[in-house]
Amino acid sequence: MAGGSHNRYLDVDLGTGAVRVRSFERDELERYLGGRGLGVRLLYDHTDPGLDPYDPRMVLVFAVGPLTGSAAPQSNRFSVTTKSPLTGGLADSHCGGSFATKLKRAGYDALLIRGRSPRPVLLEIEDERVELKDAGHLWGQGTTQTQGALPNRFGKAVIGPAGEHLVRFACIVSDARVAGRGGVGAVMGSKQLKAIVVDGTHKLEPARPEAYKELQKSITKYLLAHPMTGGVLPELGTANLVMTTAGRNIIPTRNFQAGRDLRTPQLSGEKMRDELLAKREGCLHCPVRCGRLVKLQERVTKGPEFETIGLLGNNLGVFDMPDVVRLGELCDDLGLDTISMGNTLGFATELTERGLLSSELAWGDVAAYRAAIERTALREGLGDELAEGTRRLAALHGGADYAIQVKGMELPAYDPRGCVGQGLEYATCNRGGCHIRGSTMFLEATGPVSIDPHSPLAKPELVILQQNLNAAVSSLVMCWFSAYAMIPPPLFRMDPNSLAYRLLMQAMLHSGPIVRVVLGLKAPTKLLWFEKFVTTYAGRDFSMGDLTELGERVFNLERMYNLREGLPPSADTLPARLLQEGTSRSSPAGVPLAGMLSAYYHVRGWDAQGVPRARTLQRLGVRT
Amino acid sequence: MPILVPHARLAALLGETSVRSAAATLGELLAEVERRVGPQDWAWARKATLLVNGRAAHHLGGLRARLEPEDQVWMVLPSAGG
Repeated sequence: MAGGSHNRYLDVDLGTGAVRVRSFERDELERYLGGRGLGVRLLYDHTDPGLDPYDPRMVLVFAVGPLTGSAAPQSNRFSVTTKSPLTGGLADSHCGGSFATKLKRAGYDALLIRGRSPRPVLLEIEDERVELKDAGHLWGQGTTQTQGALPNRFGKAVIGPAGEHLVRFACIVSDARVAGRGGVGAVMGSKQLKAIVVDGTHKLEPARPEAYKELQKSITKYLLAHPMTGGVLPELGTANLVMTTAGRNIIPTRNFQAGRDLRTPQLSGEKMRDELLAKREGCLHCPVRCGRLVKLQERVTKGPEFETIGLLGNNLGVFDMPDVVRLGELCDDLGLDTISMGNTLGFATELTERGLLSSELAWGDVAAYRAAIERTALREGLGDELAEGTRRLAALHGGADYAIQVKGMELPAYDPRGCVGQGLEYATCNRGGCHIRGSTMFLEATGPVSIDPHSPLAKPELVILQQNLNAAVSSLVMCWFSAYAMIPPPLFRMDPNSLAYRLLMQAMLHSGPIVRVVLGLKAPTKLLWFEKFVTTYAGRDFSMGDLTELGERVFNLERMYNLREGLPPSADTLPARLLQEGTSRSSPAGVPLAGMLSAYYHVRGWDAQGVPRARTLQRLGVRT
Repeated sequence: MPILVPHARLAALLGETSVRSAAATLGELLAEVERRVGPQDWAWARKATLLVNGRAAHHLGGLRARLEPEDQVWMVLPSAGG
């Protein structure tokens, strides 16, 4: 079979045990393609407004994309979409590993789970065979032990004790990869679904085999030769960001009270490479291999990603890399999002320091943090409060101004006071405080381009451009890291202190009007590998214009979902600390959000209150 | 005294991860480092973003930027991830 999709999905009701194979009958696949877009379309259509995330009628959607199962680089990923127990709005989280390919091979573009099982269950899918099996023996087990108990031939997606105990930032783990954000694991736990295993035999073939094969080869070669995807990422992993974010004064430090510590370099990617690295690893068919396996005394284990280092390490005053490795490993095993966990612990530590919370937590106290993480997963003692996340913790003990969250979801490891466009991106992100829905900081502070990170100029336009592209790429469902390779290699060779470089950055800083024009274009060209792969593998003639329009459509539907669920536009903001306090003599101010936000709404085609205008939705074909 | 935190490749060359200096300006500080590593290595090592307390040096007067005792100067290379 050719064409990139099976045009069907599996609908499983855990309450009744009913299993249906359903076709996409309306505009789901045509207009939303897969992954993130398909997920929000199905969530919107299959749930009534105002449903609690833990209501049995809530759906949990696993979706793959038109390229999943192909050998297109960085394409073997899946998304999980539901309503977030943290934000009350959309949650979607993405994950690599082998689960996506196995789900596609089972013959489905998506798996929609509804209902609540009366007892812990395991969902086993093998082509048309779909079975619910007792998982009582796995309940209470960590994600490592749970995956180990399941047959190797399956792709696996499991929760740990945190999901079982409805920790609001519980994640779903698949192989060594994690769908971490927004509490998708808690919704899975609320359904008493411990694990999903899947395998199959329905292999899709490329629509244009020769062209696809040629493209696959040339893009792999390009990615491997690129300074980011072929250089920094495989060499240092995502921890390559530690030194740059520290230099920029934007790595979270003591709950965002500062932007670095002189000990931060002890957590660098270089340090991990030189002292701990055992092996590089990657997702299926991914040439980049940004994952790390590290040596920890007698064993080899997963090395921490940058976000884990930033939030469980630097932010908590933990500067010993093996300690950070162990804390990250513990969170993965318990099924906790390391970003929200580290951020919540940082907030709780500051509350303790200020005398607002009685706890044992203290900066750098690894044993106290370890105990708190374990108690959080089981909701024991203080852990029951930590399991609620920063916003709810602030409601209990105060400190809302320095609860570092947006819409209830904790911020990752880039302090936006040193990359104000990223601040706007956080504020407007549909799933709450998230960096990987546009990564504007890459254009401001961390990448080869540095468009004045303290200036609001051009940022609304750039954020929209990035958000739309990201929504499209994550509907494909490709890894966002491939987008870093869109910056042409010659830019990496420029001397950032040269006049030519500074003139170029000045031009970019004033590029807002040009970007507005670009945003309005529906370019018929095939410029990037994303649309070329859709065309050659899925057999759908797809242009750059189709790609950006897809992204804009998905983003607007997500916005409409959030509005439907009662998440007001006033939630498009940042905590007071980030708006009002500086971090150093050179960065004395907070994020100038208000001006950027009104321009952002205008360019998006939303009204002054942040609601998409009817004509915008009509232009994009967003059905509500 | 101001501190310079060099990027990893320069740090390997210098044999230390931070350099303390009595330099009064950014230009003086970098000249000190250049003297230590030699002009040949400095030619590639200097191609990094210069940040004074997290702010790009060219916003603060470039090489003429005055340094205070508590200032930190970092040299960083492009990075990416998430």
